[in-house]
Amino acid sequence: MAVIRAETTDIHARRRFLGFAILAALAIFFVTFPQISGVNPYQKTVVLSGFFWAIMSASWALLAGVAGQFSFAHMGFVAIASYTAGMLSRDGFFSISSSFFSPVVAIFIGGVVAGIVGVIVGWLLLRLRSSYLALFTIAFSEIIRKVIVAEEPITGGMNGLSLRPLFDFGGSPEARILERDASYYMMFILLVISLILMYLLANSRVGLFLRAMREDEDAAAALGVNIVRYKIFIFTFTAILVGITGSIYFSDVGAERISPDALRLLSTSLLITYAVLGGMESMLAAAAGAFVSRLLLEVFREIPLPFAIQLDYDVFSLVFLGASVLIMAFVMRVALRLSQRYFEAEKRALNPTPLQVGALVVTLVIIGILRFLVPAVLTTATDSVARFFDILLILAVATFAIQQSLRFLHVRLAHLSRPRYYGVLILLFIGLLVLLVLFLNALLAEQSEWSFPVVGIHLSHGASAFEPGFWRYAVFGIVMILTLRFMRNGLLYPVMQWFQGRDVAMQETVAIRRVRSDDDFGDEEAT
Amino acid sequence: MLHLELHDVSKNFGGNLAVDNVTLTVDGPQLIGMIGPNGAGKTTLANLMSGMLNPSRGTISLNGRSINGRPAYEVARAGLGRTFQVTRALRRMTVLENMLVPAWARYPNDSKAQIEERAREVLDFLTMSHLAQEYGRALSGGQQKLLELARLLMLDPNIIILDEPFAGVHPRLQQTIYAYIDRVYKDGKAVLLISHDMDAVFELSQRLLVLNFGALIADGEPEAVRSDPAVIEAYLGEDDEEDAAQASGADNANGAGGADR
Repeated sequence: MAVIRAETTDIHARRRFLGFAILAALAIFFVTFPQISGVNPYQKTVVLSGFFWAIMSASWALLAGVAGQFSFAHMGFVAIASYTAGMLSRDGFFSISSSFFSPVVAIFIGGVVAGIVGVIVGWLLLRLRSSYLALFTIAFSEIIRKVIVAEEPITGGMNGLSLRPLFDFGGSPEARILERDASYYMMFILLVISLILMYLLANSRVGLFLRAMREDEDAAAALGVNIVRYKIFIFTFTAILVGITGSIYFSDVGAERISPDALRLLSTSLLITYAVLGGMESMLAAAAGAFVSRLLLEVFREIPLPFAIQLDYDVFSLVFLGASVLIMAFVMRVALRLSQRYFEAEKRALNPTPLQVGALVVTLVIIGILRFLVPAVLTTATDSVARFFDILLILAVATFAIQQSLRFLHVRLAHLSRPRYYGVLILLFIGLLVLLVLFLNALLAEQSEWSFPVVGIHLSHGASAFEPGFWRYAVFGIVMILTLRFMRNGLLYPVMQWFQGRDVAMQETVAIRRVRSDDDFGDEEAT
Repeated sequence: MLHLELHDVSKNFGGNLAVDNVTLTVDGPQLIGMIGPNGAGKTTLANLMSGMLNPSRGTISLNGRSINGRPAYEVARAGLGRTFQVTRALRRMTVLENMLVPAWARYPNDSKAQIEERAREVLDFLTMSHLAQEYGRALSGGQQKLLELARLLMLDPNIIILDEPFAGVHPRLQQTIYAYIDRVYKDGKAVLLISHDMDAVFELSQRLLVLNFGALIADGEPEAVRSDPAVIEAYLGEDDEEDAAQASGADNANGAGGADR
């Protein structure tokens, strides 16, 4: 047993060293990044906003993953701090003139105010758990947003509010570059500091109590943990952290102004999604999840897809986002259910059953009727609505095709082990998508104008009316769904577990158990 | 210092009087058994003592200080620990972390290494040292019971309330729990054992409390309580009515205890 433990410590030390080495390499990379020639200001801004969202998601992971408080109030605290800072540095405070509130002072006070609100929110939430807590915090966030929108004379309403720039080196082009770099390093340093702070907190005595609170508030209380204090503490801590981060970000570091849009449920949901993708229980994983997600979302905005479907995205973007995520969720669920059924079932039909074909026909007919009916009833945006249903039609057919091809694959892949089986499935799915795109591309190259008169879709080669910037959220949704289905603890959870040496600890447990089971149980009865 | 006093304590949930005017004193190390039919108010009484519920009437004091209206964590730190009828392991934390929680709550200035050493000793005693790195959720039902007991030792309370420690437990594990109770008693702690396992209760306790419909109907030496007619009627004799006519007293209680399981 002693031997096992010595080895374990060795492995732990080695892995910890490796972890720190990787982090150090990353840090060096990000420090030198702005100095690399060929890096343009846009890329710096993208990385900078990645840092910002990394702090947001990491602090949310601390709040929800470590302390178990599934809160939607994060952006609310950002808004409180930023608006406080902005209004103070614009209007002053009673007899104190606005010139007193330099950006640093204003940001500091903004953080303090966010912290005070954090105390109040934490106190109000004392008796609320899980879904009630989520509902309360959504309401809290919405109230703040509505108040900001309503009080236009003070807050600037929908136009938002400009904060005094944190870095102002004059207007010359050189100063501009300097400002951008200063902003970049500011956010990076903030990220590093907050990660270290949160890491220390989570691994301290308080962190232990926070986790106990997450697991079972009553049991933790019975073990002597002051739930009231730690619940209020964690809300206050994260409120101050995101308040200061947010008001720095909106002081012309990452964004020129803060507007109520920052408070929309969508942006809060996205920051939660980033954290969930990376892994809620580790702040580092959540930060990495947020950073990579932000980067990918930006990259998808850049890469034009080869085929073009015209749609009025301004009108329909959110509807379409919701619909596509839902439909994709449905597709995946059907696919997974099928996979489960056919994985275990003896029956191995290669052809679609009449029922499935019937379902497809019915779906097509219903969507088809709606496609002509709804635009006829509506007076505005009829084209967009019609196109929306066209897309639905295509998706229905695609769903069916995917279903059937998956089904076919199950028969062929049934002998594989489960993880491999799903791995192959996902790879094939991606492959199919690529093939589809390539096929359409080839098709369009033949004939530059392509239109389906009945369905109303006009495909024209080379035109870039199709907004990949929009579709990235759908892809993101799929990734999210797959993550929740297969790796509920986040994509980086296994990595974090490895660095913490969980596998070694498990081997140790098994080894000790083996040794014990030979001789130990006899002793027990003797005592 | 070890003194728990309940004075005319009542608790009602709506119209349901769960605990009815209970007065009792625990003073100095002793092994106390508490029995009573289901719904007699045993767990409610335990919740009242541990500060998880507030009494509707009456006062509860621990070591001379009233704990009415005090939060549960203060009661725990003041030296009253309890286990739960349904085990409540902290599931996504390792066994060692589970044990760190009470130890650090009680002794904030102890170092982690110090506490871990103590924890390993306790785990050794409870024959679960190999599980130190295991997550709470990975433990079996019996191991979770042991984990609760282990956590309790780390809290280092003077009074321990064990709510149904023998429910669903293998006889060998039961022996471990016997040894545990013996150990904490010898350490100078008072143990309040709530159980339906008559054999265990009569074997272990020096003093027996009987609850029925929230009221404390008997409090005294197990042998005396066993022959108390009120107790026999309320609890012990209830199970086998045919026997009640021919047998009474000690024999009857044993029979009932056997039939109870």
